[in-house]
Amino acid sequence: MNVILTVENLKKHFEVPGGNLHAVDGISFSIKKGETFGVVGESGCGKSTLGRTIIHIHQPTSGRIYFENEDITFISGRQCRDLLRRMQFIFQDPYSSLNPRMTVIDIIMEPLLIDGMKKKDARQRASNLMEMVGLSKAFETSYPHELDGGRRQRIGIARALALEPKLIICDEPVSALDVSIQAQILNLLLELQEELKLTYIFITHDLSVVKHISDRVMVMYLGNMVELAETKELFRNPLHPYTKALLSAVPSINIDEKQKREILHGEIASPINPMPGCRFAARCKHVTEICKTDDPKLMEVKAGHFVACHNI
Amino acid sequence: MNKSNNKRKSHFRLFVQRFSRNKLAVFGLIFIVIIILAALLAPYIAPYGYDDQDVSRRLTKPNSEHWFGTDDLGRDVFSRMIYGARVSLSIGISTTTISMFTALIIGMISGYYGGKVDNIIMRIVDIFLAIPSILLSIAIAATLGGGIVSMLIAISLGAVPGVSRLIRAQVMAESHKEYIEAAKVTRASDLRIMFKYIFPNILSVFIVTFTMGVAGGILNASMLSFIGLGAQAPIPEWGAMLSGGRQYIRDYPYLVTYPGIMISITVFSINMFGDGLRDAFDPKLKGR
Amino acid sequence: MSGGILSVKNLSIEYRVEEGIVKAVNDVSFDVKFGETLGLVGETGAGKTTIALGIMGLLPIPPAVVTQGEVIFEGGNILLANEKHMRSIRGNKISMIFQDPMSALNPSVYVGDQISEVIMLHNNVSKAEARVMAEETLETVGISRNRYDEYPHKFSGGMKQRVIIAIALACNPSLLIADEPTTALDVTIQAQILELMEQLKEKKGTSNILITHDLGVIAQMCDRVAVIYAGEIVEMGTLTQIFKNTAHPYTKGLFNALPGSSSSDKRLKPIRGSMPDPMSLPEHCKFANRCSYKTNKCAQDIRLIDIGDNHLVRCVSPLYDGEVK
Repeated sequence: MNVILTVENLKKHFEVPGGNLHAVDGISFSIKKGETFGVVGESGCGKSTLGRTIIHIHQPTSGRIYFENEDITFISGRQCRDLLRRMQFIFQDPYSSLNPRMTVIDIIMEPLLIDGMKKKDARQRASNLMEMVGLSKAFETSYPHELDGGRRQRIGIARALALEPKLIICDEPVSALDVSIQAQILNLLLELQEELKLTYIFITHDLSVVKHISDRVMVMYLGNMVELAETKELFRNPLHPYTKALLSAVPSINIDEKQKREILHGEIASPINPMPGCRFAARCKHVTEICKTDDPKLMEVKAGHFVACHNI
Repeated sequence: MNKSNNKRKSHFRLFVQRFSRNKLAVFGLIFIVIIILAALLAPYIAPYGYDDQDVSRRLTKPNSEHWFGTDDLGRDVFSRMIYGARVSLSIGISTTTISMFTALIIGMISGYYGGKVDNIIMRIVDIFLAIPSILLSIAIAATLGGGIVSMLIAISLGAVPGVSRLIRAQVMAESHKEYIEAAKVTRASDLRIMFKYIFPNILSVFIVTFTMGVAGGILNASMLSFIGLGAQAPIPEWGAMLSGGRQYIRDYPYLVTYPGIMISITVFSINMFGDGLRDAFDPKLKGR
Repeated sequence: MSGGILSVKNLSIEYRVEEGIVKAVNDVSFDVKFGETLGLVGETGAGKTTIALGIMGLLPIPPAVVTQGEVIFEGGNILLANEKHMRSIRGNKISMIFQDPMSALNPSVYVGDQISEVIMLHNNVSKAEARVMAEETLETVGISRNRYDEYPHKFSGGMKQRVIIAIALACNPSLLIADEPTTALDVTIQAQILELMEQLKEKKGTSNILITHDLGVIAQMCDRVAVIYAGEIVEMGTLTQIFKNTAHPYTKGLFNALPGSSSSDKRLKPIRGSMPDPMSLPEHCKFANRCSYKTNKCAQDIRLIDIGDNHLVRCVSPLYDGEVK
């Protein structure tokens, strides 16, 4: 079996003052070993919540998650701790995801010590991990605030690699970094993937980044999947109106072509107690009557290319 | 941008720099050091024992043999004051240690777990907070029958509700930060997170609160002893000395003024020192 | 003096803090021509925002110190202007919009009133007249005038930014400084705002300084560009010159580091290392230790040289068409 993770109709709802917030509302996909699965969308689409639900920072509301053929949807604390040996997480903000009072080597040693490794061995392995992610030995005794964003993110990556996970969920790992550092970290992630045979779920709002690093891309909007395809195919031939608008909105560095931006108008629907019907209806150029009443189903329009739209 | 390792040394130096700029805080520190030395070296620097009575010399005004005069039992006031430093400091430190660590546990559990646990604990704390801490201390001390031990318990317990609230707030703020979430993903247990992750990050608040707590403890001890629920004779506690000197205040005011000034300056110094610590830890709070 | 709306000459700004002296801006000079949009592009910490705050007289002094330079506006050096004079300029002749729309609006005042306030501050009009003008401004930025009496929290991020633009443009300033105006917004909202800014530029003829780290935004919005690194301008020219005849290795590095720059190669070409600590800037060329073209010649003070048609580069051996000259 080549599939490492399967998600079936996953939902995560939160009780909020206004009602029930449908952050993730019925997502299904499978990921193959060694693949980079990109999840793209704007703020509020639920991509971060999706990542955090798969790794059980949040408990799923309903649906199924299968990891390495095991049903991990509703697991106990101990099973969860076991899961975290095989699945890990890289956080977006290198400034707040590291304990300000621990040195770099201590931060990386933590998962090893917690797993029962002896201090000496843990130190050695942490040192190796630092080398693997391109952090100089000189920084072993530095504190996070003494280092720049790029180096801090390397610490986060080393920490995630400590117990040799098979799957890493990367939540906007380069969004808080400058362009020149972004490129360094993306290269590092690609190298590590090849060397350690990792599978990535890569969550981001940045279309150029997701295009560069992913094998397949899933587009999310207000908790739903709207499109899923191989990266080249998605960018060459976007089918969902939202995907098209999203792609056209990215400012291009091509100064010869006057960019034809597709501007979206209309109100963004609320994810709290959502009404039936397509969530994108109010902003869609091609909206028809059925869009306002029926939830669009995900359909395979071409091999490997899925869209959730009534009007394809 | 990489700042070299010299940065970490200079962080401490910066801290000392910031602290030293606050003249009152430095004065406070100097006075505290004097008091501590007095307490430690009492047997060597006090000219007389704290209970050396000489009834023939009772109630003599300050002179070259008795710098602060003698009390109604002929005991040297100056010596009693020095020994009194021992009493006050040990009461202040011991009660604060007990109350801070109790409050730490309560606040940590409440702030970290939140939800129902937090609700229940905080409602109980609120009940105690509704009672002024002075009255609370008095009630506890009176129930336990007076004397030093009951005073220690009374002062310790009296401080717990307020400090628990404070610690809970700090813990709660830290618990929502991303590095705590990250710690859970590295499979850290709750206990490990509380003591290796959260506590070091609230340490500065803890230290400042501890310092202020010692001042509060000394003040409460004086108050309880003054009304007779604390240190009993012949223990030279400053508040007890105040109380003992009350009836002679018209003709022998020194029996009251010296202990009174001691209490005031000591508490003031510790508070100024604590303020200085707080500002030096986090200059951003100063509102510059 | 090239006739322009604003002229910055040899501006240097330092922050004097406990840990040392931060050299945020080092001898920066540029002009903004009438009706043009000048882009200031650079990464975090390059000094772009400090330059903007310096122009607006909004630097926190202390710890900031303007150690040298002039900012010429309407014939006078506004660095020497007193606060009263600056207040008559800000919001009126020169406006600024900041990065974070979430915190730039007063949450307890109606959005319409926040626009009226600025109008009344700089014009001798009654409250009613100001309201009419404010309502019109709202329509100009694509918000229905009926939303005048609503509080900021009822508006989404993109809408808030529109309100901020409305406030900035209410008094028809001749110069607008926009500091990362769309960075905090989603891509589709960013597209809306950029489109709006283009329309307004056409309609009102405002000159603009657009500060951003996003080369795509620069490409779509700017006429001329200045690339800022470690507090200095390392390259400046027209859009075509910068994008097609990139001359400075740093600028080239920025383009190369973009995902999608080399279509086939999976590996990006990052710029190795990181920006120098502004408290201990290297001597001579500040980019040298990260530059793949470094030679012995780089160990000297490098000035901006004109490599043709007012295309300025701070480099001893500038690239040209991507190859070393």
